[in-house]
Amino acid sequence: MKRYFYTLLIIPLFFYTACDEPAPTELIDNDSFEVEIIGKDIENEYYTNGYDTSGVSNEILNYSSVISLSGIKITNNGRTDNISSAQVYIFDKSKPFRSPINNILLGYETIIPGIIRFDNIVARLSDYRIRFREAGTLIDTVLGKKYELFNLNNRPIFDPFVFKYDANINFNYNAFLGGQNSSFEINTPKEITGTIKFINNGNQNNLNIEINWNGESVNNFYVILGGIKSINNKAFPFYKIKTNDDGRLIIPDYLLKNIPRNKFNKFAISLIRKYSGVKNLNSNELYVASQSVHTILVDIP
Amino acid sequence: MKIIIIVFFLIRILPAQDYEIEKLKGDVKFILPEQNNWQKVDKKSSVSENTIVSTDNNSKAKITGEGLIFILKENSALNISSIKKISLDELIMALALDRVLNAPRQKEKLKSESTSVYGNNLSASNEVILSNEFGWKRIKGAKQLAENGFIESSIIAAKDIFRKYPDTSRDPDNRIYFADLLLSKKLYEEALEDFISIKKLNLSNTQQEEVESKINSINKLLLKD
Amino acid sequence: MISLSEIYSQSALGLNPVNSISELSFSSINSIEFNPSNYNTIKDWVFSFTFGGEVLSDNFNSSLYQVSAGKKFNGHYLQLRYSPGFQKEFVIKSEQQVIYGNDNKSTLETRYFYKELFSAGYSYKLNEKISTGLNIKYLKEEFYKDIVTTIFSDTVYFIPETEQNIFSNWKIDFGFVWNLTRDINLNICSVNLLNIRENADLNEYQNLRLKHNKELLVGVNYNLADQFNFNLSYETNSSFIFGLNALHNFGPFNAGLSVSGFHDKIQKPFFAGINLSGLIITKYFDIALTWLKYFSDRTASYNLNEFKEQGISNIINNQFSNDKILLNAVFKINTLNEQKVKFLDIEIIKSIYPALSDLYLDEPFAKARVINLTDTKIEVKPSIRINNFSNEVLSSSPVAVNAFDTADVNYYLIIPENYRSTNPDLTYADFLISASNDFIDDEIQKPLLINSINAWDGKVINLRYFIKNDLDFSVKYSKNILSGYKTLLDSTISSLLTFRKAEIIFNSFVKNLTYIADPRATEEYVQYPQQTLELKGGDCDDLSVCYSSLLESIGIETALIDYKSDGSIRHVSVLLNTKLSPGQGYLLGANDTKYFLRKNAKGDDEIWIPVETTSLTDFDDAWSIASAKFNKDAINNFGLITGKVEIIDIY
Repeated sequence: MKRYFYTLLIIPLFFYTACDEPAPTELIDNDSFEVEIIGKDIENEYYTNGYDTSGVSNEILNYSSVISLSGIKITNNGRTDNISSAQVYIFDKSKPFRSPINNILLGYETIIPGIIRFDNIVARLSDYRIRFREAGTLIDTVLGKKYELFNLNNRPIFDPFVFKYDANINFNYNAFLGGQNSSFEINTPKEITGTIKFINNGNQNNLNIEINWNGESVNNFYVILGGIKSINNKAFPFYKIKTNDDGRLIIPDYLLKNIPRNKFNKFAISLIRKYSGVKNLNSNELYVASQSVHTILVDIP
Repeated sequence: MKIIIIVFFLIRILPAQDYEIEKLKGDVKFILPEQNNWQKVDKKSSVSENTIVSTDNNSKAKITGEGLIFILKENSALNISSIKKISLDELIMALALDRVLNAPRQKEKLKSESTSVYGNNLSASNEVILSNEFGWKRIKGAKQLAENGFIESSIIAAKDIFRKYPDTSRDPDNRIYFADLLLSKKLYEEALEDFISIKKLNLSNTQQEEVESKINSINKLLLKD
Repeated sequence: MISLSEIYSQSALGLNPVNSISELSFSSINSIEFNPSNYNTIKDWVFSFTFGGEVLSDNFNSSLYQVSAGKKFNGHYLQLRYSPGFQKEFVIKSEQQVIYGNDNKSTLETRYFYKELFSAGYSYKLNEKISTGLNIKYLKEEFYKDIVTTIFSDTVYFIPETEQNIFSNWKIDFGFVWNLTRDINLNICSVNLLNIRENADLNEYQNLRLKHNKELLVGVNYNLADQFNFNLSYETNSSFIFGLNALHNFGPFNAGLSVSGFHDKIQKPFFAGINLSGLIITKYFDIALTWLKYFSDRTASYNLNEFKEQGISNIINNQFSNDKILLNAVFKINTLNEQKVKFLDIEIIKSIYPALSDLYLDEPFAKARVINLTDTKIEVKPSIRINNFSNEVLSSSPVAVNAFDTADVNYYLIIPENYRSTNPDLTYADFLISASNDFIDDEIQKPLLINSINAWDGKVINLRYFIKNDLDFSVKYSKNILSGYKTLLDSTISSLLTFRKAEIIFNSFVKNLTYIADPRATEEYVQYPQQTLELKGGDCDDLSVCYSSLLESIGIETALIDYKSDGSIRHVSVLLNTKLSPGQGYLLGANDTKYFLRKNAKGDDEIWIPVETTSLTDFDDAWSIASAKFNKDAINNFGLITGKVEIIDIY
């Protein structure tokens, strides 16, 4: 019997070495997102280049022209302002503008080849200004004119342009000299309205932000989390978080905990629902985007 | 135990003097059971049972007691306690007893070693067998018991005498006489045993024939049973 | 009988993470102790391991579930178990992806591990009906979360990190098993009674921890028939399990099936699952193959919210567990000696008389009846240890006993040479019986009366022990006497030397006996010659023994005459061998009634004379008195035939 004793000990060892561990059970978390740092240098506000409060300038620089329509709500301290904005840039690709030191492509000079109307409202021309900071030097340049329509809270002093949600806005282009006129409808997404809730308020390290909104399962939906600088009240973006338009997102604590509370006093959370596409017009690539944006500003607890 | 001892003393001091020996003629002597030496009978002597009476040449003694009278002839000797009628059963018992006493003892081997050494029977080689008259006297006395009708006692007495006086046992006539007594009492097996051992003695031709024929007839009788 | 699988349900796959606390169900085998076929009692060591895996779609993922060892000693049972397979891992595929510059994406993962690593159990059998015990488990909960940390410095960038929270947890539970009858037992045990755990700081983890509600588990096992058993256990959180087991005997092993079903508060449907086992049970090992099937569809992935709302309370049987196939093997090893033979009865048949030294070498003084408990023929060795008597264990000869048969075994005794106690001693004897060299199978203690060294059983033949006991003393004494009669002896003819010596010794020996009555003189008490001479007296036994001893010591053959007819008092006197032949009888004197002939071993007649040792006068008187008595009782009254007189030779 003793002989078998030693055999006995070997068997489980054999099994132990010869086998796997139980397979794990997957739990599927619908709170999925893709996060990316977009403001890599908090001292550099070049992102504030006037395009819109979302996107990376690199993206639109790929195209000949950019049409961007936005319905923006900004909620701050319980008060919400509604902005309707339309911008069109027609680039002269032969004239790029780069940063002096690092030669980063910051933009192109623009041209104004015709009259642009949105819903029959003629777009104004305004300066296409670029501001960036490179190696401590602030550069402020106007690269040309852009077409613009802007309205805040439907006040008559602004352009009478109203961003219609979940509708079609008509775009009309009349060329000055030759060139093709065009006119088409731009589809707009449903209006997005969100609310912010803090979780684990007491602890900076465990602070989560819960964002709820009216989800519409639109493909292109993202949240930009940024901060408002205490010194100059300027908005600075930290992360672009791409997620499902399912109405709920929790920004986890690890993204929030290191944000320097001494530099920023407010969070700026922008919910962006975007329709975008590329149109070919006269063998030019025309990038058309329409978005519903809701930016919520809250004090950092 | 005290009682027994005292009783024994009493026995010694006052033996039952149940018998009387009267000297009829010649020399008569007796020896009491506790004594080793002969005493002469003057005229009469009172003696106890187990007393041996002996007569010399030309002597005669009369023994009375316990309701009997016995005349002891010359050159005879007799133990008075033999003078009694005993039954056949008692005879058979006595013969059995004789056999018990006759049986050689088997020495048992002890688990532990016996530390005593018995030694050889030194006297055996130096044995001097005196032709002891006394044995013959006793035999004659025993025969007289038979003649007086005390056949059973006679047989018993003879057996004892033959053992104690071995030369008497070598006399074929005496042996045949007592073997015949056994026959007369129809004690065939015992008689047969005797005759067979008599046959081993120094017999004359007639004695031999007699013994053989008696052996044969006893055998036949035994087979019939 | 509680089946392996039933215990699985209660313990390994239990409704609660705790084993049923009882010696009976610590290991699978313990659970089968009930089996009346007696194949399954744990006597000593038990080892088990469980190997198996989860069945999921086409996958079968195997692992070592547990390996355990248990030992039983006296009424205690201790078990240790290492259970690497008792774990549940959850992976949260959050699809939280992080883009590090250059479009480098990586997915953040969260993993939750629930493990029961070790457990130890202890139980104690209070009596035939009740046992109680406790169980300690060591569990670990590990939560790993991949995160990124944003570094706000000259540039802003992500660095990957893993948040790790590991919690240890000790659980202690108590239980109790009560064997109501041979066929029914009840058990009750606590669940999560004592929980010693590290607490999580964050609520997030608090909610993920293994649920540890305190519950109570009660169960009943009922043998419906031989080898057919029903069992039911109920836990106070509204969960229960019930099962049926049936075994059939196939010669050297039992085989059978077990089926059980269970309901759990959380799992759906009402009967959440079923356990089917095939069992083989033998004397040395048990094997069970079990299939656990859940009735709801088990997948490899679930919703995280479902997990967060419900949590789990059991590591291997919960709403996220999968069907399992398990192989359980248990090995029973007995290093103990089993009792092979047992006493049924012991009878002491002889009283112990230390004087009668070798009497007990030939004949047993005690007889025992024993039974062979095994199924083979064995040889049993009896031995005995008597307190205050001999220091050693005395063995008697072995006896062969057939299987399951009874036999009589004799116990012999050696009286130690130095035993000298003059008082009777009531002591005790340990009767031992063993079937092997190094193990005593059974032992019974019995009181034993050891008589004093002077005690005598009343048989005259046994007086020889008193006579022969101290021949050294006797020979010295006799030789001392004879040395004073050198001249006389030198002038004695050689044939009469024996007679003369006997005479001289008697007369001397009697002279010193001036005092007769001895208050201790009884039939059962005999003095040794030295005592008689020192005390200067004794009864007929003592005096005869003394005289015979003095003669025997110098080589004179003696015998004892036993007169049984003297009413209630028996009498003994001495017969001695003069070594004279019948023809030399006249040397003793004219009276031929005073001597008797006996044949020696060669068949020759020798003259023996009787001597009455209580006649403390002189040799002649003693001889005469003895002859008269012998003639009367032994010869004339046919005492030697009727048995009233017996001659016993001293060998």
